[in-house]
Amino acid sequence: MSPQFVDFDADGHTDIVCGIFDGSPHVSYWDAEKGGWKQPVTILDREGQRIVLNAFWDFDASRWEKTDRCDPDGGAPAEGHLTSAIAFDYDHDGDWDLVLGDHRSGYVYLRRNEGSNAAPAFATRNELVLADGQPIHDPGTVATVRAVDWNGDHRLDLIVSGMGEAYGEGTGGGVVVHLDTARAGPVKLGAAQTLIARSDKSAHEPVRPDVGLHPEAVDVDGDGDLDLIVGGYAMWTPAGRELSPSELLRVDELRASIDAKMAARAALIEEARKASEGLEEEAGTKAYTEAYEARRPKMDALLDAAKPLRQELAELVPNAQRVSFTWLYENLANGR
Amino acid sequence: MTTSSLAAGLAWAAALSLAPALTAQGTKFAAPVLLKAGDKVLGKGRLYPSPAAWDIDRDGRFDLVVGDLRGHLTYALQNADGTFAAEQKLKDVAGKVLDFGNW
Repeated sequence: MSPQFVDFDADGHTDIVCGIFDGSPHVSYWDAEKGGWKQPVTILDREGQRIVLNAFWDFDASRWEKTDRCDPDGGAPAEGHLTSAIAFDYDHDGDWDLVLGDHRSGYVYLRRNEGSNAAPAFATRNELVLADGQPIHDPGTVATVRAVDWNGDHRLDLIVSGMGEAYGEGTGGGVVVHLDTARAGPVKLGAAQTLIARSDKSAHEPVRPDVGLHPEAVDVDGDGDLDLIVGGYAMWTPAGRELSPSELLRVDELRASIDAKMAARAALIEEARKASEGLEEEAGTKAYTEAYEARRPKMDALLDAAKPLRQELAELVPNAQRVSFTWLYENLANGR
Repeated sequence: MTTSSLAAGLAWAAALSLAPALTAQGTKFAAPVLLKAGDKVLGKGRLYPSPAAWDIDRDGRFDLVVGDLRGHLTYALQNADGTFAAEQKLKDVAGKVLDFGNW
C-alpha cells in the first residue's frame, strides 16, 4: 500500500486513498462533523463491483480468486494483482481517476472516473497506462505508484517504483518518473527517467533500499527541490573474515550435512504428498494430512539436527540479511 | 535536516496539483541516509513500509505517515528542529486503529 492524502470526494477535507494486498483500492473518508478519518471502505465501480486487476481476495469465500472481468479491451498482457492505487486526474476532466499498480506482472493501469468526485462512476474495465507510446512495464513488478509534479509545470507526473526480486539473488527494485509531456488536456507520459537505479544487491551492509521500494517525494530540506523518502528492504551479506584451510573444509562439511538433512526432510514431505495421489480432494487432503503428521517427528528431528550446524556455519560464513527501513535521498538539484 | 513551512506547503500543493513553480527537478541524489523517528529507524521491521508526507497535526510542518502491506498506518510528527518523533498508530474518528488490512 501507499497512503495518498487527497480530497477524494471534493468535500474540502483530506481523505486517504490506497490500494492494498487484497487487490482493490480503498478510501478512508474524513468525517467533517466529528473531525477524524472513518474506517476505510472499498472503492467500487459504477456497477457496484470491486475494482481489481485479476487476482483478488474473495472475502465471502475467504480465499484468493481470479477474474478477467476488468481486463482491458483486447485482454490483459499478463495476470495482474493490484496492490497500489492513487487518485490521479488522468484525462484532466476535473475528477479523480485511479491509477493502479500491478504487483504481479509489472504493468500500470488506469480506471477512469466517468462521473465526478462528488458522485464517482468508475469504469468497469482497466486500461493500460502508456508512456512514450508503450505500456508501462517494470520488469521487477510494481511496488507502488505516486503522483507528483516532479518538474514544476503544474501537471502531475507519475512515479513508478519496483519490487525487484524480493528474496535471494537477482536484480532489486528502483524508482523512475514518467513526466507528463502534455501542455493541456489528457496526460501524455514520457519515457522513464531513472531516479533510483535498480539494485544489484551487492552490498555488505544496509546502504540502500534494495527491494520493495516505496517512495514519497517531498522537499525535506526546504531548498526548493523534491527529495525522496523511500521505504523498502535492504538486503546485504556481511563481509566474512578470511578462513583457514581447515575452516574452509569445515564449511564444506557443514553445508553437505545441512543439505543432506534438508533433502531427507523433503523426501518425507514427498512421501506424504504421494499418499494423496489419485484421491478426490477431500480424501486426498485427509490422506496427506495423516501421512504428514505421521512423519512430522522425523521432520522436526531433522530440523533440530540442522539448527546447530547452521549456527556454526553462520559464524564462519555470515548469513544474508533482509530488513526493512526508511531512507532519505536528498535531491542535489538545488543544493542547500 | 531542516524543514520550512514553505517546503511543507509546496509538498501539500504538489500532491494536489496546485504547486507553485518549483525549479526543474534533477535526477541526482545524495547517498541515502536512514530516517529516524524518535530513537528508532522509521518503519524498521515493517512489512514493506510505504511512507507518505502529510501535516497530521496541522502545525505547518509535514509529518511522515508509514503504511505497510498489512494495511496498518503509523505516523511520526515532525519536530520544530526537523527531526521526527516516535511513531504512533494512526486512529480513526472513534479512536480505533485505522485499519486498511481487512483481508
